[in-house]
Amino acid sequence: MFKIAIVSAAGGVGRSTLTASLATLLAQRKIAVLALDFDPQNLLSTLLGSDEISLGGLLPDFLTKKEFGKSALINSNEVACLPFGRANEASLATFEQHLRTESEWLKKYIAQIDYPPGAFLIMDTPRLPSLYARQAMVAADLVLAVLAPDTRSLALVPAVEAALARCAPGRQPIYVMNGLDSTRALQSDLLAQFRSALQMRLSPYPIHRDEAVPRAVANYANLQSLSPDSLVAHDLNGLLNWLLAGPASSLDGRAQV
Amino acid sequence: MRHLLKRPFSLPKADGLAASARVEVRPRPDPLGWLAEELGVVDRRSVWQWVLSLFIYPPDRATRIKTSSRNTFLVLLVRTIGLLFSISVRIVLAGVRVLRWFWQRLLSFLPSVNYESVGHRLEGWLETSFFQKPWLLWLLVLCSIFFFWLVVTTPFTWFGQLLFIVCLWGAALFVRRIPGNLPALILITLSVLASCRYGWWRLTQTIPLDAGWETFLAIGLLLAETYTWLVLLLGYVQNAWPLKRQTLSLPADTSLWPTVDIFIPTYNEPLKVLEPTVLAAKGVDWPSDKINIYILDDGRRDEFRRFAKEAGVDYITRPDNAHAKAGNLNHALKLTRGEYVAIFDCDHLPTSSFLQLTMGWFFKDKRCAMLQTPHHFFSPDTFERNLGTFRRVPNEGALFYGLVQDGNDFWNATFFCGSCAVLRRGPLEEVGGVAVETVTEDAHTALKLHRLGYTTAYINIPLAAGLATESLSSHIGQRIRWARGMAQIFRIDNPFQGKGLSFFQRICYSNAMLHFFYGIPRLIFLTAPLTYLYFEVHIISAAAAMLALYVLPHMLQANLANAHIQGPHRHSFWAEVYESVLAWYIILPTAVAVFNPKAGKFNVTAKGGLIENSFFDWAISKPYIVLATLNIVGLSIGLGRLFFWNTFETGTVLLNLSWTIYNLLILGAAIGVATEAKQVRVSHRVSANLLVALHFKDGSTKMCRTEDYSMTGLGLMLDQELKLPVKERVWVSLWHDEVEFAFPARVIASHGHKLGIQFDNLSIEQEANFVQCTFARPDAWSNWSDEQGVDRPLQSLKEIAIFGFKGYRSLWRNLGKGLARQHQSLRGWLGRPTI
Ligand SMILES: Nc1ncnc2c1ncn2[C@@H]1O[C@H](COP(=O)(O)OP(=O)(O)O)[C@@H](O)[C@H]1O
Ligand SMILES: [Mg+2]
Repeated sequence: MFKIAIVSAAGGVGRSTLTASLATLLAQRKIAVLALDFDPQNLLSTLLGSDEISLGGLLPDFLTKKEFGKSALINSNEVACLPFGRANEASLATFEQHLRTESEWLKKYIAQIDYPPGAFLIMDTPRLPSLYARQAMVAADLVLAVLAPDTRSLALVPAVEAALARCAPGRQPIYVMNGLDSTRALQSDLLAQFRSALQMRLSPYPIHRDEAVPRAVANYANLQSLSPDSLVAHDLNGLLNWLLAGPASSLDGRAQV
Repeated sequence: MRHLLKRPFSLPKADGLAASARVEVRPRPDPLGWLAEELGVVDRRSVWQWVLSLFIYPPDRATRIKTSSRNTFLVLLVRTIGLLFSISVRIVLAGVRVLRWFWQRLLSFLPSVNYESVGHRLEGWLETSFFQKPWLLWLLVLCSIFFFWLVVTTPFTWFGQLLFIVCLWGAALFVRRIPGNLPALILITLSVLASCRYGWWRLTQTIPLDAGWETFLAIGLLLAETYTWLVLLLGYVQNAWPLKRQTLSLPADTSLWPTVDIFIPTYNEPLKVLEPTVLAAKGVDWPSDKINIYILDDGRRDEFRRFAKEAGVDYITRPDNAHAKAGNLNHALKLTRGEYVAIFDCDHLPTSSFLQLTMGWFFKDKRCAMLQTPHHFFSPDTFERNLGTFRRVPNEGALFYGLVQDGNDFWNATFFCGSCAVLRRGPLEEVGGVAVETVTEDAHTALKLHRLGYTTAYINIPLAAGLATESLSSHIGQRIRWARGMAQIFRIDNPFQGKGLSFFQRICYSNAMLHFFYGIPRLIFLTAPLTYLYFEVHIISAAAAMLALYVLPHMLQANLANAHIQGPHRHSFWAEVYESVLAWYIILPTAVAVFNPKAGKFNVTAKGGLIENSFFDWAISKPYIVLATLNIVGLSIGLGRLFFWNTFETGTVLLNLSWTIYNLLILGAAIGVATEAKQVRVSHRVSANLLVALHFKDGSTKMCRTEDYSMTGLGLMLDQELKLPVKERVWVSLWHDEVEFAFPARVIASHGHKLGIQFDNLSIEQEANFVQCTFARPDAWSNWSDEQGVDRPLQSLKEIAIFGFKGYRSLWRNLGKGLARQHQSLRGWLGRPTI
């Protein structure tokens, strides 16, 4: 199983959207995929088609000591999703206490999953710095950091690097830009700055800001089939191809799934 | 463990639409099919069956005629004839089949040969010491000359000559299927044999010797033929082995790369033409501290100075315009110091890879002083526009840049063509800069470089592109300049004299210069048959059949050889059209230049103009019309001779008539070129299939592809139908090197899947980016001629014949209009009150 953690230092840059889109795209290519929501906001299942907040999930399972993955859902696109589950302050406090003592909890927890060899696991996280993101980065084979086309994200790049270096010394994240509006000269300039700063670690396919994204969410529909010729659909395909050919190509047996 | 999400998303059914009602297809009534059935024709495509059924076998279902003895006899007679006929058809067909079988056997032998190993073995033999002896070479040469002499001079009877034709022709048809360059050499040899044999026969047997004006005309024709014979032979030498040089990579360490100055000379072209060129030049991929771009403005225009400043390039002017473009370049040479100079005419946009792909050779070959790349045109030239052959038939320049330059390159005789080239500054300054003595400064400069022992190179990859000349008159103006310049060089710096050139370089240069003297010979060919048709003068004193037997292999073999060598670059018979259009106009300039090389003035070709209404260029087409009229009169007289006056020499009349008809077709095509077709757009559209993203006002997007692009807009092709209001604002993104560039635009047309958009006030920087995404893409011109058909001589002839007819039709229509106008102006003039 190939594990990707989606992180970012700035909020609202599209981590959850990207997690859901990548998972859907993988499933569409007949690659088994599990989208894991490791964010107490518990919104990922909504993005994958559920119209109300899931009650069950990872946290309730932990509290009731259920077997991992019991509360996973699967949608009509064959995307499996493990929601975070409903939480209250008390349960979160216990959970976080536990995470603090055991920094590899998620990693061990995931290791129990019995999944086909070429499958993908994509983890959504809260914004950095965060206990949850830290656990996800420890567990992941690849950390994909999402950037917004603004100076805030540019300024926060060192923070992302530092956060990863702390929990996994010697590893570097790869980056993708989300929400690019290429008609604005300033954003294109920023993209160029990101490119020269990050070089090959930045995906050559920035994900554009596109009405197709909220429209798909509002319609509980798959972006790729609702707006197949939109720019963002093209970008996502490009991103996934790039991931599969480059950063994620170390995975063997992916095609057999 | 798995339970479904409460609301799974619904994927739209992809095949929901396909189920819609199918239209039922009913066969159309087919009268031919009905007739075939009635007559009992089985295979409708067979002409024989139709003939047999219609005239020979009585149809079963046709109404029976009452039988009488006379009828029976008739039926019997018809049937016997039918039987004999079908038997003879069978026999002929069987013969053809046997021959074809033999031919197929022979051909099936071809692919089984391993040419590479045979080639290597042959080379191996030639390397052995046995073949290295100089006397052997001389022996071989002597033997060849002897046999050549034998073949050329031995007189044959008509039957022998016929056999000679068949053998030569068969050999050529066989040989040309062998891959590689060997068949070209063999075909050339065969063609030279046939042509020399014809020449020998013409010289020794066919000149009327009665010293009258008949002889005078005969010698005129003979000289014209000698000229074409010579040009044919020189051309063979020149193009025997096209070098097809590949690109070389540069050293990885960019600090070793030299400095380059890009010169863009301009004189009177509008800024609109210069702008994209400068923007493209700015995008040329080279270390930015090692490249400088200069606009050399001989028009000294403030507008240009301002533009240069805005675009961030240098701007050079000079106080006078001495020596036109050459002087302009030389002036700039004095003010700049780059190690290399790349020159682009102001309408030639370089692609971004221009220097990357060309400079490698200067590293490898330290004596290399100049590297030329083809002049590629993305707009149709006069011929292509007025005849509608754009991207179908290789254009006039295709032969030179596709073959001749590659051929020259083999002999180290690549010419400099004034633009799209890189020169090493040292050697250029050594020969005193760009030559100023002639009006074709480029070719002359290369000649001077070659005389000093420098090498030149040619890379046949279009790395820059521009606009072709717009109108026939400007095309002729340009060619007049070339012809004059070449004639001038021929006079003042003749390549056959002077030091420093190799024998083959001399041949290449001489052919280039001789080539421009085709004016008079072409006129002679266009009028030669008239001497007989008008005056019954026999300028070739030979029986028509014999003449045909000799001239046929000469033309046939030359055609086969040229179709093989030039095929992709010049279709058969097009040279006649191209030359006939210019013939009249280059006679005087070349003649003047030969007698007085200093006379005349330099004129710049106008580019970027627009022909707003289609019109017939009466002034230009006068010579063609006169020639065509003469030939038409000749044709009518010839028909009279055929049936009434010269029935005793039908062959001669027929020969001259066919020649006249051929001339008429070529002239018709020339007249067709003078019918200037209307040009719709100011900026030319280049068809291309590029990825584009459309951004709409509401934040949604759509990916699509371009159908074409121009400096002012795009033609787009969408997957789905889309109706957009005209004037709607959109943004379009194009990519260059994985970097996206978005441009503001407005919709100007929207029909079904097609969308036309026009840019909205692009800034200079945006324009530069647009040029990089389109015209300056490294592969922008690489597949340009893929859609061009191969050369099929008969097809080509047919096409030219059709153009000929169209030309006369257009002439006829415009004649009516022209006469009406003339009449009116005459009336107006007569009706003027006299003071
Ligand atoms: N490429 C995109 N184009 C348009 N809207 C987007 C895009 N990516 C994300 N959004 C919108 O941005 C908002 C925040 O996205 P979300 O994925 O929740 O961010 P995060 O998880 O980083 O907080 C959402 O409303 C989402 O619909
Ligand atoms: Mg989120």
